[in-house]
Amino acid sequence: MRIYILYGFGVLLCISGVGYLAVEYIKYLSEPGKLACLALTTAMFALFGKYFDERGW
Amino acid sequence: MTAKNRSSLYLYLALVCFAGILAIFVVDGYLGIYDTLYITVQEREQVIEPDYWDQRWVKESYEGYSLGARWGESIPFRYQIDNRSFSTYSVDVEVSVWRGGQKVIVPLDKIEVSVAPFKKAIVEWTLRFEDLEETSPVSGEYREYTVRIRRGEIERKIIVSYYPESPVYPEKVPPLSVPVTEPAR
Repeated sequence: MRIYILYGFGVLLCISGVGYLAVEYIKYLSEPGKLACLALTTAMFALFGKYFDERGW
Repeated sequence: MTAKNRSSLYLYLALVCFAGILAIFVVDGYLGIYDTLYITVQEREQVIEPDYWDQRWVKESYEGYSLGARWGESIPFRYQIDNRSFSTYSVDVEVSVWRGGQKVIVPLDKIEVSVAPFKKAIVEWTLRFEDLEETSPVSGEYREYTVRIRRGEIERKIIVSYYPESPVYPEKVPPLSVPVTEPAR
């Protein structure tokens, strides 16, 4: 059980770190760049969802 | 296509999307119009990179870039416009010098600069001290001028402070006290 708590903590740290970097970097992107990034992020999460769905998660 | 192959395909496509996001960050960061200023004062060239103007404290305070110069020194400026886009960039550039909210001189009258795609253009001028029509400085006094560089809608502010040169040692040291005379006998 404790190991899962540690995993969860690590995952949260990773997500918050990546989120912070994305917020810092996205300030310097142009409007079309932001739009393209949003589209690719949506597609990426959808594809990850399909991947885990196919694996029976 | 088997279920395993299909799930692998989704994974690879998701990774391609992630690579695409990283590529957008790199390419988008490279593309654009960038300006760099080269100013030579006191025999040292100072380079003001485009990133300087994007810093939060510069944007919020809008103080401009400060530099110090010797009294009477002429300052050469070199303004480089880097066009990292797929079309020709044309813009008006004008340079003026201000003090106390009043325009003093115009070292560079409005000129149109045209930069081809992925090329650079350089605009040069010199801020001549004689043109400022300054009188002799009072000891310890300095003068500040604001150089405004307008490129289309964008303005860059450089604050130049002229400091009078003072000798390190006084030429003649005044006596610290009255000479002591010998008492009369």
